[in-house]
Amino acid sequence: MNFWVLQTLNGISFGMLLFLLASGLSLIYGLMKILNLAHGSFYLLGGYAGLVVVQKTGSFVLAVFVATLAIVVIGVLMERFLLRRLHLQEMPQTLLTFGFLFIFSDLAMLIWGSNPETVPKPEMFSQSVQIAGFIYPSYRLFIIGFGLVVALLLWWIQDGTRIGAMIRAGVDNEEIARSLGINVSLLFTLVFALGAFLAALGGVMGGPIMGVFPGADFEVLLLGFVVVIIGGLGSLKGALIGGLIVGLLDNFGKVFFPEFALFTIFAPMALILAVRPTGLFGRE
Amino acid sequence: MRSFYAAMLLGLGVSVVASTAMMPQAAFSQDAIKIGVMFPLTGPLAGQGRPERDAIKLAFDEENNVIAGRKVELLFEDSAGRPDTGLTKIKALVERDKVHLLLSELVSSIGAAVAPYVHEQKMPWISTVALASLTRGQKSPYIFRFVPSSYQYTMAAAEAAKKMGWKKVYLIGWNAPPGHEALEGLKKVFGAENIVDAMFPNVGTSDYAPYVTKMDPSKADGVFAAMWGADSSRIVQQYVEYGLSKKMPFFGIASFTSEEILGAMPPQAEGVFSAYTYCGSLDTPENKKFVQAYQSKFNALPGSYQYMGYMAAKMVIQALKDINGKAEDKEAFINALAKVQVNGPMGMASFDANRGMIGDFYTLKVEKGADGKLFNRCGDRQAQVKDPYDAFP
Amino acid sequence: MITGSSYSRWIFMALIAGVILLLVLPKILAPYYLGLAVKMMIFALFAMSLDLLIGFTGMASLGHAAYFGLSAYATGLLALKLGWNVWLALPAGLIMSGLAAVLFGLLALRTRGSYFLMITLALSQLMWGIAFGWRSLTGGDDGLPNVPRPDLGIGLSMADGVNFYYFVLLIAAIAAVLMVRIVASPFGYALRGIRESETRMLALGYNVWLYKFSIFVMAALFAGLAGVLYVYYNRFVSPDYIHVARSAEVLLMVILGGAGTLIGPAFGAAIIVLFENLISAYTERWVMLMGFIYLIVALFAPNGIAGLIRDYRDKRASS
Repeated sequence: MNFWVLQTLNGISFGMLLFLLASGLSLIYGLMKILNLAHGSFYLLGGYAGLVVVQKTGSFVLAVFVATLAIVVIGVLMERFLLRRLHLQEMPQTLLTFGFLFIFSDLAMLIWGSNPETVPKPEMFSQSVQIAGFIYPSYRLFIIGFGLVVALLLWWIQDGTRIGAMIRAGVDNEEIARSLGINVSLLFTLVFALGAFLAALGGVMGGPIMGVFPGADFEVLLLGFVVVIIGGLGSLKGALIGGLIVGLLDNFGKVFFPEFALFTIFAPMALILAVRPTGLFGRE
Repeated sequence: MRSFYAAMLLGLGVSVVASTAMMPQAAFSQDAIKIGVMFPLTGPLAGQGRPERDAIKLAFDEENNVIAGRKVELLFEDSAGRPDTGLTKIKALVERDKVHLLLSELVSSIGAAVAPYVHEQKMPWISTVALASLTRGQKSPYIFRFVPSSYQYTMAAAEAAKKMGWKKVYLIGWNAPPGHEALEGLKKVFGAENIVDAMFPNVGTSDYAPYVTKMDPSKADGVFAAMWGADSSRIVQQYVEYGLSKKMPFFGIASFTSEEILGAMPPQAEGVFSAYTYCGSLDTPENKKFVQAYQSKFNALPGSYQYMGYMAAKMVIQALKDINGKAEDKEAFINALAKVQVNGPMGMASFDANRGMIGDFYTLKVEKGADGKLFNRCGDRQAQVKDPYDAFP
Repeated sequence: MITGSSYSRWIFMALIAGVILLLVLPKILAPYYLGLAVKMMIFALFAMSLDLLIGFTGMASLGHAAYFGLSAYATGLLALKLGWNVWLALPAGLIMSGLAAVLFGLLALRTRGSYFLMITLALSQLMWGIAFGWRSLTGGDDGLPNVPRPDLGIGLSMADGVNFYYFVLLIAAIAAVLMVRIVASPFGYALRGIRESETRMLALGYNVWLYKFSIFVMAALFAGLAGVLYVYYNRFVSPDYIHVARSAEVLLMVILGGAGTLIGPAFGAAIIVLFENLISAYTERWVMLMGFIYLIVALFAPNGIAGLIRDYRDKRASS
């Protein structure tokens, strides 16, 4: 019994982390049709920025604010000055974000060196808690709660606010949205900033578990891909469900079929795509 | 249609010509000893590659880059941690730059790819690749391995743990050759029936929780880990998180707690064991000199990768001195190198008959220093450990 | 493609010059550079094969290295373990790539656009996982070293760099001519039609799926050919051949050179191979440099180098 609870919690906490990593990717694609390959870089830079702040001030909360703000600024600059010049040109956009993936990874190595780092956990959650006879790290429980809060907030923004309505209009049909007087160009910047924010948030929150190191950008990007493929591009619900599915499958897959650990992530993805080519909640 | 063919052939032609035109011939003096130094300087393995290259530079700087009256020139290349890139770069060093010997590389897959070429070219190559086959199936008079092989360091780690009273053990190792070879090594020392479970997560696994939570402290005396780099700090972090570190000691194989990675370990990594050929806090004049020299030059503590690079260079320097700097005479050089003995930061080091490394191993334990930082405390010494060719032919 | 007669004369001269240059290259270049030229030709072939998908049919694959790597493994294993010569091992490699493409094509062609990009990525990562994990067959991460040189059975030693150069040149040239013929055929024009509008082609009665499936398999075969040459060139195979990083690299070669031109991607491949092997010896920051090159291309030459040249030509023609 304990075993099942424990492994399920593991899967959910990893899934929530994946949700944080993938939701930005999905949102940006949904509105702007950009597959942002620099998404992993935002994770990496966010993680490093958070690390610096924690080391200097000891405050995890401050780290979250400073790091996400810094990455949002980078994201806004990227969108305003570069990406928007290539609106709807899929290949050049891919190339551009790939260029940034290279530049940011080298930049991070230049500034922070090439040794792996771990973001220290917030003091409050540095201990493990005893639940029903087994020890569980409280930080992972916190991640689960935090992920849920983020999901609810995003859902509220999307379905309950004016901005959300405008975004949905933009996703449905950009031209009509424009003709209705919606400032689509501002929306683009907003959504890109939100995506960058979520990735950076993932970097700071995931930093204590996954760490930040050269190559983390690429790893995170791949994980994000898997989640949005399963969930469906452009769908928030898809990112959440996809994250949880991947988290749980990966966890139980590794427990029961350790020799197939390489496939616990990619095989379900190929399978789901074969059955539902646009993912669980995606649209053409 | 015709323009298509034309354009295509033109493209191929022009690009090739451009390649020659762009090729800057390396400026070198005819009489310098040229040494090719290739390591992963970019990509995820740069964290090990760059410091090791720095340490090699340090060793030659200590000689003022002159050996037996001849200038020494180090030619650097970046393997990017990829085998095909590595092989091409090695060819560049050998065929384009005409180096006299290679002091290169730490990545297994690159080592395996490069070995046949180096052997065919009769090019002396001193590697720090822990690949066991370099002194077995792929062995060559021209290939030297100055780093313990995967079997060598696993057996040493297992012996050290056995001496501490371990009888039943877990293994968690990379699903890659070093991980699986670690299992074979542990089986030899503890017996196959005493390996409670062996798990092989992928290289770069983000979440070790499913593995860690499968370990039962009541079933074993300890856990061995055969993974390195970012994964080693991740697994320790998560092992501690699940409260296992208080119940079951953790033993990292080889450079698991190497100084450069120690900075990224959580404070709770205190108590993690390992056994390797380098211990940063060893109190000998040679080691203090090495640590000080490296630290003043590169502003970081040297770890095992720096030690391997530094000592491999020292071995080369001594062999070059022994043959009076005549690096062109490759046979003389490899014969001299095979006999070289150098007393370095960790004591005596030499090569065995298959040109694998022989050196002292220390049992290390991570402790918190007076400054609050983690360091390796040096414990038991295993003198002059050889690659276990008898156990693993 | 259709231009004035002075232009085609110029092209014809260049064609002769190019052929002569490629033929005499071994007389000009030192062995190392000749080896690099071989590598450039192999990657040019690889990039051109992907261009068939991206440039001519509008299918951006991020898993093309799967076919490159699978044929390399098949050929490498058969040559190494069973001692098959090149006449047997090369077709076997191609069959391997072709079979994989048939299977994956059935799956991947259910999708399009970004989903196609991602499912090809996923499938290639699965292949990478098998190469990495099936250690008894593939040697795992360490790969398979000591693959023998191609034995043509006609007494030509492939240990000689010059002979090997001509061997690769011949095969690459045949493949290039075949690819040019494919895109210049009615079939090729139908592919362009699909790229512009699938629905229109459907309305015109074309079996769009079959066209896409056919070119998908063909592109895989040419990529497989490049993989076979690469395993003979390096004389080893490792999972790195299949890794998504390689798929991304070849995708960038195509875009950098200019998708939809065949020659452009060949250029792009040559430039990137060159860059990786020369620049990195002089600066540790070459990754960043590379990043900036991509940025510049994306912003100022979105149709790649070939696009730049075309624009220049058009401007001259109109002025």
